[in-house]
Amino acid sequence: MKSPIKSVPAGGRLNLFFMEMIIVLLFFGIASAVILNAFAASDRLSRESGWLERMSFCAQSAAEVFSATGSLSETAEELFGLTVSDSDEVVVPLDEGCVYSPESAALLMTMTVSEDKTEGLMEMHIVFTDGNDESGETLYEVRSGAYLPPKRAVNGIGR
Amino acid sequence: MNGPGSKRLAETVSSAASMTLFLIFSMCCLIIITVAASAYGRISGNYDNTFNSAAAVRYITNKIRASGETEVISESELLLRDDGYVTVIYHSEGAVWERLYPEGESPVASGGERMFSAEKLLIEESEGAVRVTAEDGGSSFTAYCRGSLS
Amino acid sequence: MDGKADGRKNSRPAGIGTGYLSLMMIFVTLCLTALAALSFSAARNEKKFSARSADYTAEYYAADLEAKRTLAEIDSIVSGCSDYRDFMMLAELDEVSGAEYEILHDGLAVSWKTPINDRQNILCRIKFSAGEFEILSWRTVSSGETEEAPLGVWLGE
Repeated sequence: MKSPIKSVPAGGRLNLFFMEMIIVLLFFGIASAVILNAFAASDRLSRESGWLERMSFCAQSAAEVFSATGSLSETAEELFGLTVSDSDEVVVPLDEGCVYSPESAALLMTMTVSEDKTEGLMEMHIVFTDGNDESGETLYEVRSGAYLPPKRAVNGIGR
Repeated sequence: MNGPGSKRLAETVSSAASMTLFLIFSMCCLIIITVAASAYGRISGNYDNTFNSAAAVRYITNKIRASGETEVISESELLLRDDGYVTVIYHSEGAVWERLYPEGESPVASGGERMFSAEKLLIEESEGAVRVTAEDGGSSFTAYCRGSLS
Repeated sequence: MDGKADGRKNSRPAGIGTGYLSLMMIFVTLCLTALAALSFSAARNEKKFSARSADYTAEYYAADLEAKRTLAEIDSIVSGCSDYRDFMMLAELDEVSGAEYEILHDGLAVSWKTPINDRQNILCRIKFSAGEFEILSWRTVSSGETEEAPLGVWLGE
């Protein structure tokens, strides 16, 4: 009893092999494209999570320091070692690890301070945008504030 | 030219070619599986490291926010006082530990519950706030948190 | 004998048999699919975790800002008054949403809660005395937290 394959002449079996190879490669190509997309999506998600985590810690630190000092320049100096003149807005270029990096700005952290209608209360708006994205889409934002009583200095206002 | 010898030669070349193609395909498959496994390892490892260090910082800052009084004892020890109990958070043996004591007892930074693995934990006072840094697997996170510092 | 040998020569397997490639491809595709699914699941968990943490941070500071707004409002009412038993001032304090006051022998204590989310609040308690205020408490508490929260307090080895 010979198997059907073995009864095929050598040249025919080769043709069969090449045909199988073509079908396998075609199917494998399609499967690989789908799987590669899944890997790319996972990698992108993982990178975005890392960014989000760092952005939230960075925003938290900025909010806490601003809350304790009530000064944007002091906040920028404490967090990034930046010396800025008294202004209402500071844009800090950051790398992917949320470290101050004027050369390669993967992220832009914009801290804007505005006076609230309530006397002594200042609001800080922290916005993170993609440094390579022209549209300036917001990646993460936090609103925080500092209250410095207008008439007297009070200890422990940081809390 | 078309004799049995040349036919056999053609067959040998064809079988060698198919064998080579099969080997190339096998090698490619092996490489693809290795690359995919390393990609999975990287993503999974990144998740573990990020989770440990970020969760440690978040946990400590949330505890500070929820506590009545905060005292930084050393670079890796923090004391949180509350109504009726005292919490000691400290770093030892590559992990962050927590131990609760009833009020009145003298707290010691040993024993307790192992919370997160972290290669390094740094707690310091800065600008009237507590600065917490945790590092694990090359991933480091820092956050400030106000507390009623004593 | 010779004829048999010739027959074997003609049907000799040339190269790889049919089916091996397909089997290999199925195995590799299954491996890759499993790895991709695991990677995606890990990445999605990571994203979920960091998104929740980031959302909480934003919620906390929004609530903190709101609590400071209430503090500023209370301060503007109380700081302009030297007598902490003043009826008009206390009536104004009553209008501040969520604020509760307590007249002490040496001043006035005001407390209020600002919700962070549906599970947590910021509990603030301040004390006015001699024209100044002191923050007694500015902490997060669970929405259902009681004064005597049961905790796993360490009672020895």
